[in-house]
This record gives sequence, C-alpha cells and structure tokens, in this order.
Amino acid sequence: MTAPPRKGRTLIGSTLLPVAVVVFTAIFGTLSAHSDAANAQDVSGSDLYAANCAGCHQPGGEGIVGTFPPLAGNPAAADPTYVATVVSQGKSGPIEVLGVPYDGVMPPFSKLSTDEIAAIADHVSGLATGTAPDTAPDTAPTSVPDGVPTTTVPPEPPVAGDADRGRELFVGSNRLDRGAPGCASCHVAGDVGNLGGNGLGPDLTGVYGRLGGEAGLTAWLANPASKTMMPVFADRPMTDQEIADLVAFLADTPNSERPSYSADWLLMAGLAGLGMLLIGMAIAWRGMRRPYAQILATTRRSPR
Amino acid sequence: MKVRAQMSMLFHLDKCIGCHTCSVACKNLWTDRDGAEYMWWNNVETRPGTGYPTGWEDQDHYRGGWHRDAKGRLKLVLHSRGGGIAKAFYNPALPELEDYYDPFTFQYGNLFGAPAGQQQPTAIPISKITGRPVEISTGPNWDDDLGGSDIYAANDPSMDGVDDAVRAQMEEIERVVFNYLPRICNHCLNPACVAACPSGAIYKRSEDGVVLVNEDKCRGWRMCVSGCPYKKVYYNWDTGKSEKCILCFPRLETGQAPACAHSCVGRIRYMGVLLYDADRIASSASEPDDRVLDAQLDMILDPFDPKVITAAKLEGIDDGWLDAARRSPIYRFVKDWGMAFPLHPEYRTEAMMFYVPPLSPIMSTIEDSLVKLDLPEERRDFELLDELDKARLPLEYLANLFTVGDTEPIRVALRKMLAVRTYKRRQSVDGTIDATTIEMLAEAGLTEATAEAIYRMTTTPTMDDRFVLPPYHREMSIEAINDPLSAKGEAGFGYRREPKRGA
Repeated sequence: MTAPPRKGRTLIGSTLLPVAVVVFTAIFGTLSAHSDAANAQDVSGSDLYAANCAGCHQPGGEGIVGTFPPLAGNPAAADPTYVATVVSQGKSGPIEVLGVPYDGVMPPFSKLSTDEIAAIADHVSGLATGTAPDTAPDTAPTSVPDGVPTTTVPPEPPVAGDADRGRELFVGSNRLDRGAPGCASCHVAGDVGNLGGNGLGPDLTGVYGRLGGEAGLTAWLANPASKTMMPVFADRPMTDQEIADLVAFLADTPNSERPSYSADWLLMAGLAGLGMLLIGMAIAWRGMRRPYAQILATTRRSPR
Repeated sequence: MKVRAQMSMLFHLDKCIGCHTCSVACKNLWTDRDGAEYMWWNNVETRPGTGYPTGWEDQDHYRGGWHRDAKGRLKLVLHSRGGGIAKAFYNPALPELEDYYDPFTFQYGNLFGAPAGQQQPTAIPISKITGRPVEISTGPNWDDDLGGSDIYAANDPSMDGVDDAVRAQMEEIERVVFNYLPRICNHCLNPACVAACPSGAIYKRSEDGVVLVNEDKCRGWRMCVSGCPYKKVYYNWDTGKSEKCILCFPRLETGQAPACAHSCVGRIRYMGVLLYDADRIASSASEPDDRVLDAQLDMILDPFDPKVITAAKLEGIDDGWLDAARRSPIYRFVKDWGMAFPLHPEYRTEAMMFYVPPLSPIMSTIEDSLVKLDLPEERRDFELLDELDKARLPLEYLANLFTVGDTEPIRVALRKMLAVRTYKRRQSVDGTIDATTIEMLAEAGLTEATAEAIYRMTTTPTMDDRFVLPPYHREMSIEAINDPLSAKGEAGFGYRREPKRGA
C-alpha cells in the first residue's frame, strides 16, 4: 500500500516552470547580447573613452594630478598593447607618471569586449602621442610640463553643493533622483554609520582628500569607475546637483567624529541577552505539560 | 424574540453498539488527508473512560469552554482578552499529538513484497506521519471496551461525585460496566471556539447553525483548539489551518443526512430542525449551574406556537423549514418527551447535539456460581422502575455527563424508557395491558399514546422518520449566480482551492 506522491501538482509546477523560465531567459539573453555586440562595433574609440575613461582621466586625457594619472603626453600610454592590458585587467599600486607619484586603484573593465578595448587603446595612444583622431576639447592641454601641477578646468560649469542635502542623499533619507541606492547602503562616512555597519564598501571619511578634492571627487562620482559601483550607477547616474551636494558633504566629513560603539560591548550585551533567554526558556520548560495519558499512568487525578 | 433554526442531531445511547461505523464513514469522507490523519471529527468513546483526546473533559488541564465569574458574567476559561494577547504565541492549553495519538497504519506491502525468509512476513505498525515503525501506545478509544480499566475508567472526570463505595464496586470484575458515547462537534449556540478565535475565522451559519472554520481567514493561532471544551476543533499540520466537523453540510444541502448518521448501523442517530430564541443565548448561558440546563432547553421554541411561527417568518425562515421543525424527532425527544440532554451543559456553550441516556442492567450478585439479580423475583419489571439506583451505570455518572450532576432529569428519562419497555412487553407477550401497567405509565408521566409514539420512534423509525431534513433550496441560490452547466463534470474530491499556509 503506497501513498500517492504528495503534492504532485506543486512538484510539476515548482520544477517545470523555473526550467522554462531559464530556457527562455537564456535564449533571449543570448539574442540581445549579440545585438549589443553588433551595435558596439559601431561605437568609436572616442565615444567609448568618453563613456568609460573620461570620468577619471578627463575628456582630454589630462587626468587629475596626484589622483588620476594623465594619459595625454604619458609615454606608457602610447603603447596600445599596454593600454589594452591595463583596461582589461585593471591596475593598482604605486606608479610615477611625468614625475608625479600616484597610488590608486583602477578596476578591470571586464564588461568591455576585445574590440571595444582595442578601440579605446587606439584612442588613448592617440591622446598620449598627441595624434588623437578626434579633436580633444579646446581646454585640454596637449602636453603637461614635468612636475608642474596643472589647473584643470571642470568639464561642466560648477554647481553649488549643499552639505545638508548631501547628507540626506548619503544616508538615503532623500532618494537619488534616478533611482540608484543611497551611499549608506554600502558606505560609512564621518559621523554617519552607527554600530559599525555598512562595511560593504570603504569608509568614505577623507575620500575628498584621497580622490583629489572637489574636481577629482566630482569626476569620480559622475562616472564611478570601481568594479562594484560601476554597474550600480551605469544606467542611473547621479545628477550634477546631487554630485555637488555629496561632494560638499564628503568634504566636510573629516571634521565630524563618529560616535564609537565598541564591538566588545555589543558582544557582551548579546551574550548576556542570550543567556537570559536560555535561562527563561529553561524555567518555562520545566513547567511544560506532559501528555495527559502519561500523567494518568503516573498519578491518579484527584476528584474536583 | 429572534427565532433561528438549528440542525441538531440526537444520539440514542440505549441503541449504540459501539461499532465505529460512523467514525469510519466520517474518516473516509473528510479526514483521509495529509495533516488530518489523527483527526476524528466523529469518534466513539467507551465510557467510563477518558475519551479522545485523552481526558478532554478535564478542563483544569485543557481549559475549554466558559465559566461564570463571581459577578455572574460569562468568561472564557482559556484566557481573558488581555491574557489572550499575551499568550498569542504560546498557548499553554493545547492538546499535544500524544494526547490524541500518533496516527498509525500497517506495512501491508511487506506481506507481499518481503524477501524470502524463515518466518512469515508480518505487517508491522508504522507511523502515518513519518512512515517509520512505531510502538502503538495509544489511539482514539484506546480503552475500547475496557470497562473499569484502572487508568482510563478510573480517571474519568465524570465519575467525580459518584460514591466511593459505588466506584469500588464498579471496579469489581463482575460489575464492570461500560457504554458508548459517540461524539461530533456540538455546533453550539454559544461556541467557545468562535469566541476564542483571534482571526474571526470561525462562524455559525445563520440558516442552520452549522459552526464552520473559514480556511481562508484561519491563521492557525489554534485558540479554538484549546477553547473548545469538547476538543472538536483540530489543527491540520499540513495546511496550517484548523478544521472541524462540518455536520456534512454539503450532504444536508442536498437532502442527505450526515455521513455518520446515514451509515449508523444501530440507527441511533436522528436529525432534525430546532427553533431557538437567539436573544436568550447570553442570559441562559450565564445562568448558575443548577439552572443552566433548564435555561438552555427553555430557549428551544415550540414550532407549533403561532407567535413563534410569525416571528420565525419575520426572520426569513420559510414554511419548508417550519414544517421540518414541527416534524423534528429531536424536538419530540428533547421537548415533548424530555428524554434527551446535551452533553456537559455546564460548559455553557449550549451544545445542540442531544443524547438519550442509556439504560443499564440492574446490579447482580453471584451466589453459588449463579448470577442473581438484586431484586425480588415477583413483579420484577415494576421493581426495576423504583430500583434505578441499582443500575450498573450510576445515575450520578450519567448526571455528570448530561445534567450538571442533577440525577432527577436522568431518572425521569430512564423511567420513561423502562415504562415503555414494560408496556410493550405486556402488550406483545401477555397480549393485554393490566391496570398496574397503566398506572406505571402514568407514574412515569406517559399516556398509552405517548408510550406508543416513543416506542415507534425508538425501535422502528424509517429513514424519513429519523432524518427530517428541511429543504435548503441551495440549488436555487446557486443557480441565481452560477450557471450549473459550467461546473458540470468538475465535482470530485480534494480542495477547490488549496488552503495556503498563512494566506
């Protein structure tokens, strides 16, 4: 005598449906990926540079002194093979370009296809040798004098930032206009970030200084180049006003002190609470009912 | 006066043979499902005993039903309103699976599929839940036919108040006695399960008083399980919802008696309509213990009274129902003849299933290896009437079950039954009715016509006599909104919609 399989209908529903979904997703995903690649071949190296590189290295490849190395006039960038390697694999650690030391992180741009990287490398070597096919913006210098800091002109007219609004955007109490998550989802900065949470991304206290002040931070935020931030902000970048507000807020962060919560204190409180819970449960379980038949077998009930 | 109709069942315990056909019919029809293995919406208990779930009448343990507080107000035994919230996530009065039983079956496949061996293959008991071998240690009606068992019978809460000497006698092997008590949901007028439900999922149907759990609204708090003093709401661990006897309302609506009643071998069950005054539910349920039974029976209205008929029609009870109420066998047993009582009226839920208490043989003694009755030989029939106190089932015991400890109504009912027996025996054996017999009938409060009517309703009722089902006209109300042809061919077993956990 065998029982019928339990929930036969649900079983079919729970296996076949997801399989069908996966199959359809795979088919259409492949189709759309192909069409994307086909389109990408039409995009020129300068457009790809503008979309992927100009955020940090600036439209004309002039970089930001001390933070993002310049490409224009950079002898290393004249070699398209080297550029392609750096773009596809990323680069980090101390380097020296045109006599200025840099120590940053460039993430690998693994989402770019080989053709796209080759196009970018061609464009960059053009910038480095001053023979870029596209005309660089007028404001960009074609060569940088050794060791002399350049005054970089922001790519767009500056927008006045407000630190309070920036804080609201950072903690997420005001949502970013185009729907990207608030910074505090991953980061802490200044006095924002209690209980040591949000350790997913790096602590942004002092990022203003690290990324080259207002210009560097603005450039970074306009096109975040890190591996984790890029996909988050690629389709829904922040507005200029939001960037300016956040920069104003982040510039202020080193001046504020985060209230400290000792992890030890938390641990001790948690353990104490757990102990009390266990003691309470042990007390409650002493009074747990026994099955009635067991009570009858051991003690005769007294008449009411 | 707010007249409402109630479908009631009556159990003639004098006729019950304890065959459990009712339980099996109900099990096959309603609870042969995952999560419902342990449920017996209909069960038959051997009494004296502790029943199913074990000791359900011990409300100190299970905290079911209502009690009347010092100010005469009606309160749930389970908890107060605030206490209910405090204990929402930990209901301490729930029966456990061990209180019901671990449902088991036998490994029949082994009888055919066992590998060749030295011994005959056996079908070992396995749990219906886990499929693993189990040692069966309890079951529904575990103390089946174990009259006077020293665990179950000795601990029957309804034996409280029975004289110690009588109890000691009952435990002697020659005097062992038991009877059967079939139980379904009592479809109470003042249901404690409805009052205890935090989700408002349980309701009493207005047209026939059937108490139902709305499986869509049920959130599985299980307060109904502990709130019901009869332990007749069950928790289905597979769907996460509570379930209970539905009085086979789909059968009632199509003019059939409930499966348990229909299949009853001893024909002990009767079905019929009772009219009652809904305005008096609260007041009668909060009467003190000695008046609570009378107050409940007083609530049942006379369907022949023109005032009642007018008021009933105002409430939308149609002529078909009123006619059924006038022909109701329940009304005759309960109100006309005063022979039937609800189970444990002291729980104050106003149970609407009624029981005719059982007769039991007179105590006998064994002298010189011969069984002798404790009665003089002459005029034995008449002596029996006056010697009800010597019945093997103590009147106090029956009174604890049905009449809040008051033996007088039980005595009256049993005297009537005995009088009818004697009268019919005179008639069929002697062929004549003598004056003493007529006098005996009168003493029991019966006329010859009434005795004849009781005899007919007890011994030779037809199906139509036993089950007087009112016309529900459900087909008319269904056709008003649905096209019956569109649903044709879709009838069958299973859920129309799968009950979702927590949905």
